[in-house]
Amino acid sequence: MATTPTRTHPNQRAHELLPTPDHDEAARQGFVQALKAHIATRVSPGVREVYEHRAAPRWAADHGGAEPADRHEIRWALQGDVYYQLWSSVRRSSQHLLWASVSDSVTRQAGELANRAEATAGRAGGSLRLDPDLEIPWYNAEVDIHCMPGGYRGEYAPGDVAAGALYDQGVFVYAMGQMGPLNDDYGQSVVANYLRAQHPGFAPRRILDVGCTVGNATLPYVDAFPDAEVHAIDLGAPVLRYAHARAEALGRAVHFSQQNAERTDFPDGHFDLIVSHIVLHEMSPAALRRMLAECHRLLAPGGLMIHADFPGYAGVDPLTQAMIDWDTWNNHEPLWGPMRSMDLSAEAAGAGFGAGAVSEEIVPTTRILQTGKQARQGQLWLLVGRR
Amino acid sequence: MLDGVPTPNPATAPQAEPVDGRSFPAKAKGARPVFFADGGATDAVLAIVTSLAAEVWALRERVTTLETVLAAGGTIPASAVEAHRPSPAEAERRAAEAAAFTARVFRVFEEMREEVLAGETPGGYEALVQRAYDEI
Repeated sequence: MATTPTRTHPNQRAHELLPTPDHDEAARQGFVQALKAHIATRVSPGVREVYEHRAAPRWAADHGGAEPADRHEIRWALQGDVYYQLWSSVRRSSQHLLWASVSDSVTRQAGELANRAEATAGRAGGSLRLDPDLEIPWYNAEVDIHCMPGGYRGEYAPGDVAAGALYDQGVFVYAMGQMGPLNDDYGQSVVANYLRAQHPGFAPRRILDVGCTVGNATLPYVDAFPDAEVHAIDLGAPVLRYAHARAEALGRAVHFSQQNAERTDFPDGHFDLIVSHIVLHEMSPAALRRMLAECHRLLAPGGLMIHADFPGYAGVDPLTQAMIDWDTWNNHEPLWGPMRSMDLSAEAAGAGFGAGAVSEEIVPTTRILQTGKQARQGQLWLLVGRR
Repeated sequence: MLDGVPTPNPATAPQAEPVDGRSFPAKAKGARPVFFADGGATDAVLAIVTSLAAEVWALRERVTTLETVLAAGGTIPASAVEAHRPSPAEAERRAAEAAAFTARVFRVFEEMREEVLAGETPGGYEALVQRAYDEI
């Protein structure tokens, strides 16, 4: 893939729809990355130390010698400690600063980006279908997930694509480039490290990406299966406008439509492959159940459902659970903890797949840097259902 | 192929709205958590300090860019700073400088960690002062 780096981030691939930060916007984004890295490596370890040396003993003294029993009691034990309060407050501020550093840059360019989006129409043969009457479900309407101002559906101008630009650039800054030059590592990893490895002859005719946002993880499927018709759905109109324009600008034909994955308008058995990437933890448990049942309805015999996300709390020590769960309570990820508390294999089995046709897989992420060097390897958890 | 702007759906909860004078909301929809039991004052001060740190960093980086451009060329065209594109090596150096800068600004966390691990408390310090007094 020919890669032209952006002006400010050497590991990011430039494309027409990407907002371009000016000097100081780029400096602020660089500062946020440095701050996030500093918190993770130099400040967060202190929370474990504080817990062990101060919060747990204090809790035990107040509870007849009993230490906190689970992640919730650990959270309560930590909440009164000033180190935990400072860490939490600065961490939350860093999340606000992340989005501020990108949204100021995006809104400065919003009109220009909307014009560029319109100019891409018809280039690659994809399509966009919006539904102004789509009801946004409560778990997406009541809170803007991960503190992104406006969320996936906030619209502030005609033809607005700002939410998409904000997500595309914000995720790159947030992940410190670890999601690849086009933020497409999750799609690349499912294709290269699961589908190619475990299902080498698999040749889907129609593919659906559920909760696609800006289509960043969708495009690798267009490259991997050039004969397939690729569809992608999301709840938010502005992210879909951006996704459509982005795909057209990058020369990939994708059919985007604004739909709720809990109940789509596609016919039964329409797809051979249904995928999602870090979407499960942004759905409520009941919605997630309905979505799994919808996947079962939409898959043709021989089809595959693959949801890439993070593994559940089962088997994880309570302090680590509490550290992970911080985002649930404090970083606008309200569905993160509930999702990780579910037995998703059992849910998929109950949604129609049956226990024998469901598995959980751990695959490495690819994360090939622009230099060709393999970056720090991560892991991706997959919920797989076979029809 | 691009559709028009959807009309707001009254059945849907309202989206985040900016205050007057802004075209885009300053924050995500949903209340910000309060970590200190003082009505959010300390959280607000920390948000201001964190933002200020970013501004100081942006200034520092602008100075670095100016110095780099000056050293390379002599006179500076009006667009020199915006046009400057850090090389991969320079970007790496800046990332290291940003890490060191951040460590200086947020040093207090590491000071607190040292206190926790050493079991130091204000009471312990006061006891030491008292012990000195007791020797009078």
